[in-house]
Amino acid sequence: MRHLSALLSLTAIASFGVMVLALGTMLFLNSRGVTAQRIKPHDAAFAELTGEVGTPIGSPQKIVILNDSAVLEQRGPEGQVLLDDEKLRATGQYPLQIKTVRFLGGIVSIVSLALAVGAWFAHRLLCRRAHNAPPKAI
Amino acid sequence: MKPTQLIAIAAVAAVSTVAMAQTKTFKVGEAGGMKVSQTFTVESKADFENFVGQTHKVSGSLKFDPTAKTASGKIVVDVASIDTGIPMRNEHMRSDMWMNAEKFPTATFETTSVKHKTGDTYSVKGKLTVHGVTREINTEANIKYIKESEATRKAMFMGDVARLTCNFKVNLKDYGIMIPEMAGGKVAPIMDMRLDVFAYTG
Repeated sequence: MRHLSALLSLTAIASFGVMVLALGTMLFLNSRGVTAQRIKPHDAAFAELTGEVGTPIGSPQKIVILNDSAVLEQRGPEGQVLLDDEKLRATGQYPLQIKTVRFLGGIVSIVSLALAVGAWFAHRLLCRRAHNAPPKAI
Repeated sequence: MKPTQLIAIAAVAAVSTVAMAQTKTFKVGEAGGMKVSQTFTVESKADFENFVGQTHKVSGSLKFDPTAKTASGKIVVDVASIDTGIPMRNEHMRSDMWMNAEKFPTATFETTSVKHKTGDTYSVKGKLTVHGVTREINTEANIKYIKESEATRKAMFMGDVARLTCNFKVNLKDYGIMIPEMAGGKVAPIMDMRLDVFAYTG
């Protein structure tokens, strides 16, 4: 019973630690996120004809840029970072989306919090039972 | 006014009207030596992530009168060539569980009505065929006419150019495409489609 109680206590503490780590990672990556737009860049003649840097690929979204080799000098009309989609594909880059970070971070946080709370209550219940149990006859 | 003068005025008016109403036929798609100038994208915005499939294998034609602001056309997209950036995902998408590209290799859109709204914006109705299912859709399109010039020739276009851009949404279920349970949260049931092509008279 004592071992089980200790195990539950450790589980609660570890789960709480995982939750804090998940939330911390989520907040850190969220702060590093920038709004970016992938584009297929135009060559000079095309850019002159259209007045645009390139053809948009998908819609702008918040991402974490770990490798800036595909980042273009120009900015989008709303100041968003422009990424060379062809370079991303050629180099096998798949930028980390803040949406994915929030989704996974949220799940890990909720599950670990639930585990921490559950384990802690189970630990407290066991301690109370041990405290209330009649003393062993000598 | 003398009758001969009236006849002359009527003749000039008739010739002017014919000259003004000038529907041009624009081609979409690669044409021997010219660079790729057409892009079709399909974007999924699901809870877990967004992803974009794209292809430049788009063909078709557009009949457009830049003066009268009338238009009609047909666009064909090669479904099997849509690339989402991940080979395994491309394979799944082409399989019979999804787009079934072997049985339905193309998606087409053919206009039934195009009405000018304002500027370069048009209200478009047409028949969209995806996965063997045809449905009438309403959307807006932007058609920007660029007369042949030094700039268009420098950009390697032959003749006049019409840039067509159009965004619309497709509910996969409406076209008989069911999202498997294991893909739930990773694939959006409603996809954002975007067409961006430079058609030319050649």
